[in-house]
This record gives sequence, C-alpha cells and structure tokens, in this order.
Amino acid sequence: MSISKRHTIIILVLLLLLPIIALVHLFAGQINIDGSDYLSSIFSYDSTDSYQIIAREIRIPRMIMAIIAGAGLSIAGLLMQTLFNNPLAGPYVLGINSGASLFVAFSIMTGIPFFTSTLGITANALIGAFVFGMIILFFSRFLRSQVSLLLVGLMLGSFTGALVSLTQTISEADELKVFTLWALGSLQKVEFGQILPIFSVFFTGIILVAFTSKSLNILVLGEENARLLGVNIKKARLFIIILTALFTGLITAFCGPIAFIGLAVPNLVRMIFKTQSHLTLLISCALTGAIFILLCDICIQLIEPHFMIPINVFTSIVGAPFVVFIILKKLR
Amino acid sequence: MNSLLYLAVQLKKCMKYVLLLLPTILFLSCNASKTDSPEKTENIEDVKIEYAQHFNLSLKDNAYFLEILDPISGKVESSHTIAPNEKHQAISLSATVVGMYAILNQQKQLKGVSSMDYVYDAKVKSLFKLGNIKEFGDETTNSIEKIISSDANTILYSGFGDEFPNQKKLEALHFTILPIYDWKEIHPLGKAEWIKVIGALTGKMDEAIAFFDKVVKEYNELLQLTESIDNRPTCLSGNLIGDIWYTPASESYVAHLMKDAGANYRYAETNGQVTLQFSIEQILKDNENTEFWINPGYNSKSKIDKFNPHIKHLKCYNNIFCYSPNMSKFWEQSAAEPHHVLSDLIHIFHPEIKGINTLYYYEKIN
Amino acid sequence: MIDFQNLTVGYQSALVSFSDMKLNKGAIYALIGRNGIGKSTFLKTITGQLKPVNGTIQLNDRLISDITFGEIPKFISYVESRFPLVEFLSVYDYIALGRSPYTNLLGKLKEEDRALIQKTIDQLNIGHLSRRFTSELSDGERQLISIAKAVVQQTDLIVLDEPTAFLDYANKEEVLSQLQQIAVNMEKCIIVATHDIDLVLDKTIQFILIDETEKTGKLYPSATKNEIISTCFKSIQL
Repeated sequence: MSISKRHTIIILVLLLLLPIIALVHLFAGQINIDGSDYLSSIFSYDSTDSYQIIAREIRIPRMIMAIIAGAGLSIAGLLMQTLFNNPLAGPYVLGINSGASLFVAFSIMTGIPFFTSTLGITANALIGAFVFGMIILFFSRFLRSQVSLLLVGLMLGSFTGALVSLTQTISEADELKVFTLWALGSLQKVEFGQILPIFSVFFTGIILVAFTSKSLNILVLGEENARLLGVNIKKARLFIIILTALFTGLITAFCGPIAFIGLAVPNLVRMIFKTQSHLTLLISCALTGAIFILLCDICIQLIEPHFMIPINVFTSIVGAPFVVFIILKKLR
Repeated sequence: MNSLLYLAVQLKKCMKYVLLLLPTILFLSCNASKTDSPEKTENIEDVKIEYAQHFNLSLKDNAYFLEILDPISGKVESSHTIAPNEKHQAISLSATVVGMYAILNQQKQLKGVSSMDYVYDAKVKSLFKLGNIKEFGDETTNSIEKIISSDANTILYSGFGDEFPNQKKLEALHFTILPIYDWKEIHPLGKAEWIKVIGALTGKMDEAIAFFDKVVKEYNELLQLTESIDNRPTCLSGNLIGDIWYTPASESYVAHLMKDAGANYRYAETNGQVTLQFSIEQILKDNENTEFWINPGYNSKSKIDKFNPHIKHLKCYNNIFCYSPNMSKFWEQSAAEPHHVLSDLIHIFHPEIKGINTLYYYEKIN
Repeated sequence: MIDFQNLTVGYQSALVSFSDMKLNKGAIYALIGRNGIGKSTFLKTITGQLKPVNGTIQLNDRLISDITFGEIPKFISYVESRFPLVEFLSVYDYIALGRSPYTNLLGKLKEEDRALIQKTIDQLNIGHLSRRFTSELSDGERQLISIAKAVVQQTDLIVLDEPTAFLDYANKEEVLSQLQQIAVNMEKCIIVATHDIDLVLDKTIQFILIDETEKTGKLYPSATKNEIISTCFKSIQL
C-alpha cells in the first residue's frame, strides 16, 4: 500500500470518528438529554424547557468549541513547530497565549465598555497573540538552539504573568474578578448565537492555512533552501504568525488558555503519519486535535458527578507526560 | 501554586531555626515591653454565649478567658486570657471585625486593616488619613516587619484552620493572634455574637452585650413575621466560578437566613456544611421553577451575562438581588447586624408583608 | 548560456573580481579557491541572493538581477552542502520539492510532475531509496537525492556548494560521475564549488580559479594540479 493511500485511509477514519465522538460528547453529560431534545432545541426551540436550554445553549456550543479549540490549537502548534523547526514549540510554550492573556488583562482592566465587550476582548486577544508571535519571531533570529527558544518563550510567559499580576494589584476588585474568571478557561461560556461568527472566523483561518502548506513543506528544508525554491521567507513567516495568532487569539478569547494541545497533537500526528507533507499534517492535526479535546471533555463530563476539573487542567494532566516523552525521544 | 508550596516547605524548614533562636527573641522582647505592667484591676461584667458555636468566653479571675474552637472538630484551638486593663491595639484583616469596632465606636484601638478598598466606616477612613490606621494586606501578602514595627499588639484575622503566617515569631514578640471564625457560624445571631469577643478586647463588654441583645430582639421579632407563612418561594444563591457553580450548603448562614426569611432554599434538602458544587447544566435543570436568585457576586446583569451567559434562560434571572451598591458596607456591617439582612430578605421574598418598606443592603439587579 | 561581464562580487565592498567569461551547457565548472576568499559570495551572487558590487551576469539573454525572486528557482537550482536534518521526510517528497516552483498554491503535483520525478529517479539510479526517509540515508545518498531535486527543478544552471565534502572516496566519484552524465545528457551547465582538487583533475571539467593574492577569478578550460595550487594557494611553498 502506498504511503499516500495509507494517509488517505487514516484521514477517512478520523473524518468518520469525529462526528461519532462529537455525538457521544453531546450525550455524555450527567443530565439525561435525549435526541428529541436536541432536535426540538434547534427546530422548535422552547426557551422555557430546561432540557432544551441545556441542549441548545450548553451542550451544542460546548461540543463545537471543543472541536474549534482542538483543531485550531493543534494547527497553531504545527505552524509554530515547522516555522521554528522545533518539535516542542507551540502557542502555549512560546508564550503566544500569554500575549493574548496580557492584552485581554489590559483591556479588561481599563474598564472601558468596548474593551470589556466580547468583541473588544477578542480583538485584544488576537492583537496580543500577534504581537507576542512577532516578539518570539524576532528572538528566534538570534537563537540557534531549540531549547533557547523554548526558554525565551517560558520567560515571556513568566514576564507576562508578572505584568498581569501587577495590573491586578492596581485594578478595581470587580475588573480583577472578571479577569480571574476569564483566565480560568472554559468551553461552556459560548452562547448558541455566538457559534456562527466564531465558526466563520475559524473556518476562514482553516481555508487560509491550507495555503501555507506549500511554504511549510519547503521551510522544512531550512531558510536558504526555501529561499532558493522561491519562498518569500519574510512574507511566509508573517503569514504563518498571523494565522497562529488568529487561532490562538480566537480560542483564548472564548475558552481561556488551554495548555499542551498545540504541542502534543502535532507530534502525535507526525508519529502516526510519518510525513512532512503539511497539507496531510494540517488536515490530520485539525481532526486529531478536535477528537482529542472532545475525548478529554467527555472524560471531564463523566467524572463531573464526583469532582469537576477545568479543561485546561485536564489537558495538562494528559499532555504534560506526553511532552516529557517527546523530550526524552528527541531532545535528549 | 507550585512556588507557593515550595515556599511553604522552605518556611517550615526555617521554623526549626526560629525555634532555636526563640529564647533570645523572648529575652529581648521581655526587656522591651516591661513598661505596661498591670496597675489596678477593676470589676468586669460576666458574659454568656448563646448562639455562637466557635468560641467560648467566660469570666475567670476577673479576666476574660477566651477559647477559640476549631470549627470542624469543635476542640479548643487556642485559649487567651484577656485582662481588663490590657490595651489591645489591633490589626484587623477581617472586614466584619472592623465593623464591630465601628459599632462599639472603638476605631481608635484599630491600628491596621487589610486594605482601605474594603473599608466602609467613615471614622476608620479618617484615621487612615491621619496615619493612625495603616494597610497591611491580607493573610498571604502581609509583611512581618511591617506588623512588628507598627503600634499593634493584636492581630485579628479570618481563621482558615491554619496558623497565621509567622504566628510563632509574632507570639514570641507578645502579639495576641486571634483567628475569627464568625464566617463559619451557621446561625446569623451566632455570627453577630462575635461582637462580644471584640467587646472583651476593647474593654467595652457592656456596650457589646447591649448591642447584641438588641439585635437578638429585633431578629426574633422579624422571625415572627414569617413563621406562619406557607407560601415559600424557591431561591437560589451563589454563582459560577469557572465552570463550577458554588452555592452555600444546606447548613449554612445563607441557607439559615433564607429559611428565616420565609423562602425555600433550592438546595435545602442536601446534607452537610460543605459548600455545594454544581455544573451549570445541573443548575439549569434544577432551577426551572426557582423564583429568586440572591448573592450572584455581581451588581449588574451585564457582568453576570459575561461569565454566566446561560443563566438568563431561567425565570429567576428577572429576580436577582445582591447586597450592592455598597459591598463594603455589607461586608463590614451585616455580620453584626443580621436583623437588617433578614429584613431585606423578608422584603424581597414577601413584599406583601407590611412594616418593612426599604432595603437596607440589598438591591435588585437590572 | 551564462555570461559574466566585468563582475565584482562582495557584500557592500568588493571581495573578488572576475574576468569576463562565458559558461556553457553540457559542461561542469569546478570553482576552486581558499576558504574565505569569496566562493560562497560568488555562488550567492549567481543564485540571485546577492546583488553584484559591479558588472552583470546574464543568463540566456536575461540579467540575473532582473529575474524576480519567485522566478529564480525556474532558472537556477542550488544544492547546499549541508543536508537538512528533518524526521519523516521521505526521499520522494524531498525530490518532489524541486517541482514547487511549478506547482499551484497548494503545492499539488500533476501527472507530468510525477512522471518527471520518476524519470529522474530512474536516471540517477536511486529508485531503491525513494520509499525511505532522508534521515536514514548516508551522506552520499543524500547528495544524490539533492542532485535529483535540483534536476527536477528543470533549470539550465545547477549550482552545488561542496557536494563532495563529507563523502568517502567512492561516493565522491559516484557523485561526480552522476554530475558529468547530467551535464552531458541533460544539457545542463553545472558549477561546483569544491576543495577536492584531485577528484576534478583528469576529467572533462573546466575550472574557475580564484587567485589568492590578486582576488580575481578566471576561467581555465583545463589546468594541472600545479597550476591550481600556484593560483589558488600561493602561500603554500611547493
């Protein structure tokens, strides 16, 4: 069987699994919502029926945000890993999340209504992610070792954390609370009506990211080779950073920080697919990432009656050991 | 969090050395504080504790003998003898305690608060401006050197079952350190009764007892208004923090107040004193018919919507009441004056009851 | 094919000047000179990454400085001396990247691209490698597949920076003979920067020697070892 045939089959399997797992996710919560609740919640919504409210306003957005977060962060992670030629890169470790957080913190702490609106927070998260993407790109020019870049990312994260704490000490109690709650992260905060705009932005990103696949394939060969194969390195880098910021910012704005997905999933996918064809990698990262977060969230829903775990904590518990495994394997 | 843990471990290690040095510190400080030795004794009022569960206060050899009880086990956590002529200059990190000093009009005996942001009392504010009262931060952020160099000799803080940071060192320097467990009291009058502790510390026991007796009388009069009521609206409390809705236990101060105010707490049927946790799904399912929602933690619907966008689908979204607009007023006064809270809640749940015309702390959220 | 006129290369200031020369298809030119004399600068200038300090390079009637950035890989292919260390990059995919100047935005290979790649693989006798990962190959095999990548780029000019540097003798000979066949059979002009003087002697290879003291480069249709050394490595006492 040829390699590409094997890839096609795995992708088809993932494509089949995604809706199945998404469906399981819809029915995994502790409250028994049946199919008819879902159907009527969409086609004949009765806003006084609590089951329909739960179906439409909580379960469906939660499922879709899980897919968007999983796919988006995994893609962002892949983009970072290829751009910086570093298997341990990712939006979280490189501090791109922190950039989004910092800008959101600033915007919330201003207390200006526009900046604390959903649109304002989203815009600031996107800008923050982009600015920090550019900062890490700038530093990457001076760093030869893969570990150094990760350390710089770590420092960016700590620095931002400190700045955020500083902002918190001078801000009003109310704004502080708003930010603290935002930073806890959640897949459940999105409303049914917000799904369409969020998904449109996400989908635009997905379409655009397909067009980076060619330059990503060539960038793997190193900068000089890539330039001599006609890649405009500066433009390509900028485009990649913008897309990373788009995914990271969008997801951070609506779900808060979610760790390790962006780092772990692309590595997992490369191990399974054993390829550097980025179109294949991008598609499978999106599918695997979505399935991965859905599975994490199903686990969370299943243990919810006993105790509740935030999504960020759960992905860290699962993701961190895997990352250590990658370090042992690749960066010894 | 990890760094905090690490710090704690390091601190524990340091304690060993502190203990070794303790005799030296003791010696030095004994020399330093010889000046205020007792000169004369006066007769002091006997005291009886009726409602509070987490402290004992009694008269012993013409001094007050205070025992702070562990809220969980009920065992004596620490005991203190408060002599009548002893001057307690206090740093209070608890807003309730600041309120009780204000009620007894003994603000000048306060030397510090946690943060002026949470202070409501005008006299405390003016003493802060004069520099007589300083800010010390909360239990986790205060500086031991700042405490030592202040004029205070007593620290009052909301007990959390653990020692106050650097407690041993401060005690070696003759600090009286009292954890205040008023917030663990389930009976609203038990919470209010802690004013007697402050009465003992400030030498104003007569006033403290008189104030408390007045509160008990008013509380019980209000209670009679709702005792015979059959129509008890269902009420919800708390809010989401992250994905978890924290709501008071069935055996809690808030639940007790709701019952006394003639409402039916939605989670009254649960057991225990541990704060309940629910997912938003559970809350939506359970509260289809809930009519009231109190203490959402925010004073506007736009803020509630931001972090709890789904709750607006419930009926009680139109009946939210919060102790705003002035949260610090509530935090400072409500513990010692539970009759005001009760009268507010009765008015919220039963506007038909005559005799209550205004809300004292609460406000409807729009 | 490629015409150098009045050329001086360097970063900002002049490093090496070249006598006017004309290189042709079907031939290999060995670029020889001391380390640091400006070989890489020369290669960068030919491949359009660096503007000449002075003079012009004309490729099939077009000035290299006029060729747009994106078009360069359709005219010149370049083989770096170091091979990129990447896991899970298959030999086939690596060679196929040589087609990227011609593929669409998504980089999709057409039938004719695949046919060309297969033909090149066959011509270079590297069919047995095509299913493997580049990370598993020896240095010699890596040079061969890099050359294959340059070939599928279908450029008249192929520039190689020390392609034989890390190879054993057998592999050096193999790489060079492949290059010779490519030059002749596929009508390419090949420029090879190299330090393997003995390897390029006694072959149908011409020389571009850079004079150590005068900092000038000049085309020699043929040269003996002594001539090379006395031009490029004057400081050695023979």
